[in-house]
Amino acid sequence: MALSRREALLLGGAVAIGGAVASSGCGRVAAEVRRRRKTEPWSEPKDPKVARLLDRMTFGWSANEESVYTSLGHQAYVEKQLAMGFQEPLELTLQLQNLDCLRMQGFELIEIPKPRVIQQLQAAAILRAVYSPNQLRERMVDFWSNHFNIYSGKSDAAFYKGNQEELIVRKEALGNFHSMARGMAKSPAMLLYLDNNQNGKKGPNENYARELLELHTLGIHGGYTQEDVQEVSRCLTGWTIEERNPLERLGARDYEPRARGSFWFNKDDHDDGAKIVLGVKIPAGGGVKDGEMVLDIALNHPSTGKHLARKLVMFFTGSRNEALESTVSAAYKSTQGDIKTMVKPILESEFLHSGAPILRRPFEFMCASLRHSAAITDGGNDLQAHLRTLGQAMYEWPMPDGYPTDQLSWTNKVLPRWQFAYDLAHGKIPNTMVQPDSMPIVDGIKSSGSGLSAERQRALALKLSSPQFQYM
Amino acid sequence: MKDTACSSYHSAMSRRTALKLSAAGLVPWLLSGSALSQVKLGDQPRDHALVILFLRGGSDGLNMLVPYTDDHYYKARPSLAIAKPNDGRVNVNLRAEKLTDQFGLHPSLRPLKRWFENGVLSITPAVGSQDTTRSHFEAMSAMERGTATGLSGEPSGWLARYLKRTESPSDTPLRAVAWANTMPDSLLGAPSVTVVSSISDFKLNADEEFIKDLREIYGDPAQSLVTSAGANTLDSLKKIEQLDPANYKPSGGKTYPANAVGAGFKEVACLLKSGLDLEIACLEDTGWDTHFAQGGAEGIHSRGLAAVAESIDTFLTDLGDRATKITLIVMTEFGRTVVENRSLGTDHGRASVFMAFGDVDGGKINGIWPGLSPEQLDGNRDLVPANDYRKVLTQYLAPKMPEIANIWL
Repeated sequence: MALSRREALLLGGAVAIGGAVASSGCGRVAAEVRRRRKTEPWSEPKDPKVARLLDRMTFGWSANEESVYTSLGHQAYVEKQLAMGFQEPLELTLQLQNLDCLRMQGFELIEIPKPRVIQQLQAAAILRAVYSPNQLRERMVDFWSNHFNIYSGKSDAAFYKGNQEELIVRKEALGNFHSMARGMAKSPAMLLYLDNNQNGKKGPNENYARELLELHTLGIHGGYTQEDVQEVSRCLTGWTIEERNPLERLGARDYEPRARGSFWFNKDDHDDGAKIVLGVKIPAGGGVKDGEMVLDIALNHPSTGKHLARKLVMFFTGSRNEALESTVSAAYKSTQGDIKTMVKPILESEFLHSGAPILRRPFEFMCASLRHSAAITDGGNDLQAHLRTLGQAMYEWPMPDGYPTDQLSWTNKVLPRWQFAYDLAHGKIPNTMVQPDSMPIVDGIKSSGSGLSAERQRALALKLSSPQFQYM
Repeated sequence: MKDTACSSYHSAMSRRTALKLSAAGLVPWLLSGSALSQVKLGDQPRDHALVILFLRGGSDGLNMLVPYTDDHYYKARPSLAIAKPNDGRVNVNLRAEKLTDQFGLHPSLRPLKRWFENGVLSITPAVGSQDTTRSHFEAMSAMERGTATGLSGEPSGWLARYLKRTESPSDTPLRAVAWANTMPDSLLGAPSVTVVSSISDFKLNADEEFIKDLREIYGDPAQSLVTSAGANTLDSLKKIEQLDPANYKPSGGKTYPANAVGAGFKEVACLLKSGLDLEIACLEDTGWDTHFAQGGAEGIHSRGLAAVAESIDTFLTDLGDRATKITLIVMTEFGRTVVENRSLGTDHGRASVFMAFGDVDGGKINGIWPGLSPEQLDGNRDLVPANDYRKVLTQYLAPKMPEIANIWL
């Protein structure tokens, strides 16, 4: 079966990312699906208001997204996005299924060079953000990945990040915040990133305890003190990672089979004295329950709902809105952290459209550009290099607060945006190309241009570089 | 003229400039040794430039400037403490480097000792803000906004306010340059700033038509923050593209270390020597939040300090006489707990060390030392920030930048 340029690109992408040769069976299916799918030719938004709404609910307007939205209407579209009810395209599934970082356990991945694992994680994030029709979930994944930031450069965190992303962030992105936060507290990626694996009774390590209160739950002015940080840290002593092979522990007095690289409560390293956290007494002898109580206290603290509400409203609308925030925060309280119920009022609010313009962050800018131009990409190295220069390589923000959300942080870095826009429009990014409108298909992936006429190249580069396109 | 790639000739000039100069018969003069450093692209050299290196994450001051006569220090840090300068039991390369009868430098900071002895380096211990949250983000927010605590709600940065107060119509966007992923808070609200990942990457590989188009759509800086940033960028681009930082070779025989800090200082030197408008250069480095495996004389922190010390030593050597016309500040948002944690690290504290290089009345330990005995600590835990960072910065900078005294909140 002869492959078209687009089809070959798709396969090439999967191969390049996966590192393993994609079986020709899967590849052919992917190619065939892609070939038969009708894609809208490159065009401009029909309705600017719809474009603005889609820019905020999704990773950017696309002609296809606008048709879906228009045919369903706002209400039904929002409902379907919240329910994650859109069928994932087969070719995306095929592109993702070769990624070791998603299908292997952290300790198995350690055999693979770390840069390659990070490259795969980034590819997965880009591909899903650009191609998944369940766009709202993808936006929420980005939100939570930053809320619970993991720096892939820290010790072995990168190896465990993929698993955490699949089993916690993606699972609960539109699910339950309490479950997500509880999962995070025991996830090897977080235990490694914020050093709780090093938190023991002789000399606690406060790193995770502090960020749990400051960033993940109550928020900086949420009403905790330095003493609370110390007490939380004591409660979490002994929360660590099983480093050993299960067989090495065989015969030990308290042997219980546990996968290497999974959460382990080391009771010998737990400070079992009484503690007081945010005014609540935690009796002595609680063992692993101490940490679980801390999570209960923090998750049910009134500041937590407010903190999340403020961040969510800002994320979608770009502004503060106290009325909307209190609705969201009330939803958090009444549903014990149901994220759908929290997000829905924001998406149904007039403010979603009328809030001040939001500067797209680099990841949003890149995805919006790819969606706007109906580009085909493997999400691989060459695209990632652009994202790094733009300033927002995924999982590469070292501090625990996640990439900045205020626009002034990003405003002054327009040059790499122009370069990206120009390179994308002119077909200068290997393994990424703009949908050729009615171009004859040519073999070969890296050599030829974008498939657009010179005029369209110029127009597209300019469109994506324009001051207007930097906002959503 | 062949193979000039490694010469400092290329450091400051593009081929285009070279051709023009060559025509005027200037090239032999340029290549004659010391004249190289005189190469000017711009005609707006400042009398004084400020370089800031911000160590993000809270660098452990007690592991930078060692209070080696204090028993409390050794008691609090059984694994991390750095041996006294005269401790014969320990390899000399792992001992503190004596500066005064009370303090010594971390062994990795040894390259800085001669600058201290020359009076170029002044060190202030126990510097911090009034922020007690011990949060990175609050403490940085305080220090970068020039406020007592992070709670102020002040939107503008302290350097931005300085730039605004001393603004002149001849300023260019290269007056303040930040080497960073995102704009540092200290420059928030500045009249014009250039943020770069590196100046070697600050170029646009595109056809002339595209650049012409950009000039048109970014022609009205008043339209939005992005249009204003875009107009500034186009302006800076014209200037920076004449530089060749990749082939820059420092004077004085030292080589910048091959790490992020070294690369940053190298580019600052390149820009300073070009005679462009640079007055404020902001560098930053991460990896200073050493809860785990910080180490004492050896470890993560030690490696970070070595990168900083070697970079600064090279930078000051490279600048030569020009070094008197800059002030370099090394700062961090807070220090760390006096007591080590059990993972060979330290947790968030209050006060750390600031270093100032230049015409700063150096060669001594500056400010108040509050002491390390338990009753002298904040909450029995942390070194007290006895020297408010605003006072320290004013002391170091006001002689050259008088308006600094008026920008604190």
